[in-house]
Amino acid sequence: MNRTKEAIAQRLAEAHYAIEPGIELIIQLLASPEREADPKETIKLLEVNNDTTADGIHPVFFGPHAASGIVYPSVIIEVTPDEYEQIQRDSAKLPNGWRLGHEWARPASAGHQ
Amino acid sequence: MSSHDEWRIAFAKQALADLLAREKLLEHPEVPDCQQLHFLQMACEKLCKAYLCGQGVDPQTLQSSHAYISRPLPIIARQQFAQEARKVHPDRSWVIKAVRSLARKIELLAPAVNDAGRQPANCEYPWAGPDGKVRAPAEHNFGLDLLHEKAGRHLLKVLYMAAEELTAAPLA
Repeated sequence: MNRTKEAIAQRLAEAHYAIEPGIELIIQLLASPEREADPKETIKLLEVNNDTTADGIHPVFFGPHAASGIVYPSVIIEVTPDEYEQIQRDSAKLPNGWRLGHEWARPASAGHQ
Repeated sequence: MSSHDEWRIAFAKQALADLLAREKLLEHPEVPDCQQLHFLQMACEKLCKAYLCGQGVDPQTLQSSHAYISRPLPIIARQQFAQEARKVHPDRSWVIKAVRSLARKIELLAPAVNDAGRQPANCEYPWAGPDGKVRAPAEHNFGLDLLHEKAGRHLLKVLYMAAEELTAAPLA
């Protein structure tokens, strides 16, 4: 199994799409290149979800879960489509200097709401 | 200075203590429902706060709000499903939708969360209903029974697994 941070981020994104059809888009968030090079740096996913409520940006932190192959800690931030538009206009709304990175598209097999 | 991990573990331990207290109350059917629901609400709140402790967050600022359940709890449940199986079954998507609805109901059990005055019923303090009558939580039917609610048992499993996982291992 591919254990790169990129591969595991993709796996998490695909699992989240499959579990929750209300997710419109998942974007990987990035810290500075120096921090991203650190193996302890978290995988950070911003999830745009129609079913969530608009009450600010609250990262939810998870530890690694070696048994399931998720060998990096991860952070999930869930936002509404409106909140995502605000972040696109002003990425300073993201905490810890994080910025928008790669978009993970919904896999065709994951279905949609 | 205390680390985020110390705060996470401490919040999770208190969540487990609240769940245990709820179990004990359920053994006594003569105790009004509001009491076990109060512990359920507190357990959910502390567990969610445990997962909100991390980089850039001052754990002490989390203490003051009760409105931290409806958003993090479904995320925690979803992450557990993602960890459980390498292949996630889309037909379980109804569970997360039901957990979202339950999480909001549980969040509203705190007196400080009342949906802009539209949902004054709570587990702790009396409130005045729309008809002007004063109601006591001890006599109120909250209509929230996790054994019979859609996804109620999934939610309980998530709460116990998440709290035990956090108390067993730190974040990184």
